[in-house]
Amino acid sequence: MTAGSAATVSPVATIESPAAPAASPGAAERGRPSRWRGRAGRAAGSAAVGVGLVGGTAVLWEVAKAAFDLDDRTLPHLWDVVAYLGSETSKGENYGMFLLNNLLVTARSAALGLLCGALLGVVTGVVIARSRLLGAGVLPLVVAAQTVPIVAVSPAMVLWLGTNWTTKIAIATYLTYFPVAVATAKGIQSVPGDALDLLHTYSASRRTVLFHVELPAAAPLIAVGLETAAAFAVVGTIVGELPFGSKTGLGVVILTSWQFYTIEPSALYCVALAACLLGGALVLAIRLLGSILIGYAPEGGSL
Amino acid sequence: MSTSDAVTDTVRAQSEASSPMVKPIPGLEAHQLTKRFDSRGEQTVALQDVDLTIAQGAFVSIIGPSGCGKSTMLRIFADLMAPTDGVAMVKGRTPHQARRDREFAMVFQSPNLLPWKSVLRNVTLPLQIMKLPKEEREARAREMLALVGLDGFESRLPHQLSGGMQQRVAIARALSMHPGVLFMDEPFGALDEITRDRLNLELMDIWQRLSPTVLFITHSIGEAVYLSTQVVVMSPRPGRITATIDIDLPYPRTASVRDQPRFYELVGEVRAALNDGQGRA
Repeated sequence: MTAGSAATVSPVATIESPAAPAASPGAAERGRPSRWRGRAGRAAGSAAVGVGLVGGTAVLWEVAKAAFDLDDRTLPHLWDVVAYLGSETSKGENYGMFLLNNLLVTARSAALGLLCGALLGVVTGVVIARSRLLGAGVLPLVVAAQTVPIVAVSPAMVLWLGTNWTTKIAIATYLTYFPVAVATAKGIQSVPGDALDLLHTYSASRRTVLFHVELPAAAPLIAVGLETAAAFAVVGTIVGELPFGSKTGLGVVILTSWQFYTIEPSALYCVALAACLLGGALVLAIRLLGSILIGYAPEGGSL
Repeated sequence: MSTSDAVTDTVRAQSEASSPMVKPIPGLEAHQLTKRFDSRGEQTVALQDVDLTIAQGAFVSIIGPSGCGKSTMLRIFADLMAPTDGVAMVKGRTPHQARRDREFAMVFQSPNLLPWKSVLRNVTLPLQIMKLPKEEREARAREMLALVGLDGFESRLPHQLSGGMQQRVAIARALSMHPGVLFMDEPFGALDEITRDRLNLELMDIWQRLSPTVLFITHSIGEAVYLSTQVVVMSPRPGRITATIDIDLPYPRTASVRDQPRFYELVGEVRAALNDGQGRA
């Protein structure tokens, strides 16, 4: 179904272009780019590509299943996975709703973790960029902390902080912190010397330089760091929900689905897709927020 | 701080002692100004014992090949760099004090506008830092934008303007501070010749109206002669002043000045001085 809608997009573009030159050769050249010009056009184009990729993956799934003759336990039919959303849980609840409720629990922790990690990350990035001494000392530690496998420390964190939301937020914060800190530091270090000289001739305070020049200049890079961080935040939260003791969240649903995989494989695929959706939604939300807040075209400016 | 203040006093005392009348404080003054750079044991002398006095309200161009120290001198005056030796004065104050007093403004070779701020916000930025009330800074910014012919462009973003218009915004931004001294580091160097000529005319007009002291760095002989009351010729290794040529072209200098025989004579003089400096170096 999704593959079908993607297929209808490309013929429209190809059907119109051969028809136009017949009328006037110039009109085709002028007419074609304007179809894709502007934000709406580009967004529609990206959406079409996205839908096409999802559709393609779906087709590949079913083709692989048929080609390698995989049984339903190894790889269930996609429609069985989708249909499973409509089934009932042991408590008589609709499975789709059950999944959505758990997804919202995970989403809340991930979003809060992302927020904390982003704030801490920006502050660290500013410190790294501003002070050579502190930066040189802090950066290797930040990198080292990042290489600690979160699965290894999460049981300890559960012991310290308990199985409530603080652990999950702490893990999500920990994972989001690093990309934001590095992006902020790089962004601030990329501010051209002329801009800093200019502010120096104004006798501007460090605070003014930070808020009027450095942070706005670093904003596009920080936005990219935040997108990476958003995906990490979801993974981090789910990992935080895995250890024994948690009662809600996608991590818990994944754990129970593992146990019942041989009986009902569709459940695990449903949760996996839900986690993907959550990650994608969070990344897109961050990107949307970024494009609204950073409403200028950096490539055309003089900085 | 205190040592440089003491130096200020001695400089004043000397100038007062040399004549019975109190001499006006020069716009810019350099005394035995020297700047050396050390890089991996190798020493470059960017400026060697430079003496220079520029009267208030003068328009002085510095011309010379790359590496002659002209940018270094400007950066010392603008407190972006400390001299190795000697004294630089801006209206009788140390560059540091002059910067604190917002006595000067600087125009760079690149427009150096903040791309996320509108034209108006770019021009009001220094005034905001100077803590002027909002109405006053906007009124000043609009006035200066009108002066450089950009009224109606206040809400545009820098990337929506041409290179020449962006540099006009940069000039308006510098003028909005009402600076006593204006430093211009090859401001039109990146522009095409037609735009450069037009901006030269406009700058001449602005200077005649507001009469700040201008220190202007350029690579163009024609530009230097057309704009200046005085052209300072420098030569490299070590960076020093090799000639100072007074430009006695009449005011107001309109575009037709460039067609006068005297203009060509002066261009020839500056070129000869540049070649002399090269030969000796």
